[in-house]
Amino acid sequence: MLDQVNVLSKEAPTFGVAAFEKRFELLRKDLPPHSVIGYVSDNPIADQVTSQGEFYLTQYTLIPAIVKPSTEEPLEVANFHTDKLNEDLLKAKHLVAVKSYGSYVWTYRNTTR
Amino acid sequence: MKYVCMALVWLAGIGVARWLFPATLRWSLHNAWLLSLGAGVGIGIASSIYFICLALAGPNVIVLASAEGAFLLVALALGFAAKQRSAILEWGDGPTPPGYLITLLLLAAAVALGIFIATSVNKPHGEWDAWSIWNLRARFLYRGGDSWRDAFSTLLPWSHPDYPLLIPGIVAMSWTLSHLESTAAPIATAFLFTLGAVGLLISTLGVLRGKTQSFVAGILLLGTVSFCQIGAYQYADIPLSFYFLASLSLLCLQDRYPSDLRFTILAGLTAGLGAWTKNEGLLFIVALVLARAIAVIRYGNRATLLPQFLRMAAGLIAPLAVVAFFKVRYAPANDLLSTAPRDILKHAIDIGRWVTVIEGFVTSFFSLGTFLVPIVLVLALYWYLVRFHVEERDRLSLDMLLLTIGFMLAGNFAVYILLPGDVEWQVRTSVERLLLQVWPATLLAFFLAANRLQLTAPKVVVEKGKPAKRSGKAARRAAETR
Repeated sequence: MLDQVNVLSKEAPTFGVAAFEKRFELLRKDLPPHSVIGYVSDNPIADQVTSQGEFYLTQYTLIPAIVKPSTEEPLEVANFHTDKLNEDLLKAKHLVAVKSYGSYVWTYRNTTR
Repeated sequence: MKYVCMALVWLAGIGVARWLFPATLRWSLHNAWLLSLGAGVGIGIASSIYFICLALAGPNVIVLASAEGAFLLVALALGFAAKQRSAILEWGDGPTPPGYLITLLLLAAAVALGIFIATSVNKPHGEWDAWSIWNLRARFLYRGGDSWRDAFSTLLPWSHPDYPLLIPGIVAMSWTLSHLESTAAPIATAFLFTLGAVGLLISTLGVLRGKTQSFVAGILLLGTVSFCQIGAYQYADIPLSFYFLASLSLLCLQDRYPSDLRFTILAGLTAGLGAWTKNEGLLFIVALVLARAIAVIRYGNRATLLPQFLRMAAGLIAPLAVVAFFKVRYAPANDLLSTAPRDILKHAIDIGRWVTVIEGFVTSFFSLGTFLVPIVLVLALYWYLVRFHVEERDRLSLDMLLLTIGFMLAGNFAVYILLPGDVEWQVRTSVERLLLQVWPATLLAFFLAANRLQLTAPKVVVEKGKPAKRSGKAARRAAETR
């Protein structure tokens, strides 16, 4: 019981379903139904649990669209945590920004598709 | 409306259970047992109906509402019109529980409820598996419209699209009928299963071993923090533990009331609904059938084996048909079962895998339930103090319980060893949940075997001129304890 009180008082507001629902709400309304989109994030590769968890949460939030863990789709959703982006990496993946939805959520277009 | 759907599903389940085992409408052990059983029966049948409607008529609310409405009406009509034709379940023999034990049970229930509510408030969408598997699939079914089959897309291999649909189905059904995608549906489902499992354990042991024994078992299950937490995380392991317990406890009651084969029919139904909950449910059916056959051959009347298996098949057939329809028509190949035989052999001779899995099981036996003192030691101490006393009539039931639990553990152990993936990660993230699946059934077996508790001092009768002696009942009990 005390563990629960402890968890309740320390829950980070930026992770978890509620935070993702809020961040991705505008994008979800903007996506065509049943679309398949790619995914790009600035999560460190070493932190597999967080990157995997955030990818699953993005998918959960954007249903009925299907989110693929690749940047090879014509449209990608970007789940960033800062505005200091690795422009070289985005360029290497042929990604060009399309629209910002606030809270570091973007859509990108793959120019090779 | 958010909770009305789930309440009606529960009511329909009670109707089905009451139809098979009617009793006068009043507060009794029999009706508490029906209330507990009804939760899983109603949810399982309603979820199956949802999937059949979706598969045959698409996302059509009118068809779904008609089918589920018909189920409710028929269940209520059958349940409340049924005349008593079977034995009424009543408290078994045993000492009256002292006041402090009842207080402890109520306290444990209050703490468990507190944990469930706090966890649900903190995580209304559940934990990792809930939003990456179960509620994710429910959202696809509900939001997908005509493209509901996207729920099983091969583009989502990490979400195990071959897992059966009892939980996603009932959640999506509730959202569809209430026109509201609310977290109340998965929370209410999780609550009914968690509460139902506790009610089922207490009421079954109440019949088999009396009030005191059943209250102690109930306190232990309610005190298993991770049982309440994982229930509130909206994982499928607690619903599965409900169906395992329901099937096994129904067969135990079958042994107590051998002439009434309806217990076995319902045991077949609940075992089938377990297979509709999670893939481990299929392993459970094999384990249960095998264990029942061995136990009946060893301790029972062999002539009853065929009639019992026919009744069990009658209960199993409908949910298994739904599972088969889903697996054949919609589910992609299971990632574990698509392993090449060469890789299976390679894993079988990998000593490192054996060490990891054995270590994981042993560690989890001690950490299970997040008790202050490891529960294995608590049970060992309990056994040391009261010892086991298995009555002749309970041998068949106990043998079946132990064999089924043993087969399940062995089966899960083999899955870890033989099949693909990072075994260290698999064990770390799932072994406690696998143990929780059989935990209520393990408590049933333990308290079926444990000697009756002597919680109050036996009355001493003093007669003039003679040494003090125990009263008749107390003397009998003392003799039994020896």
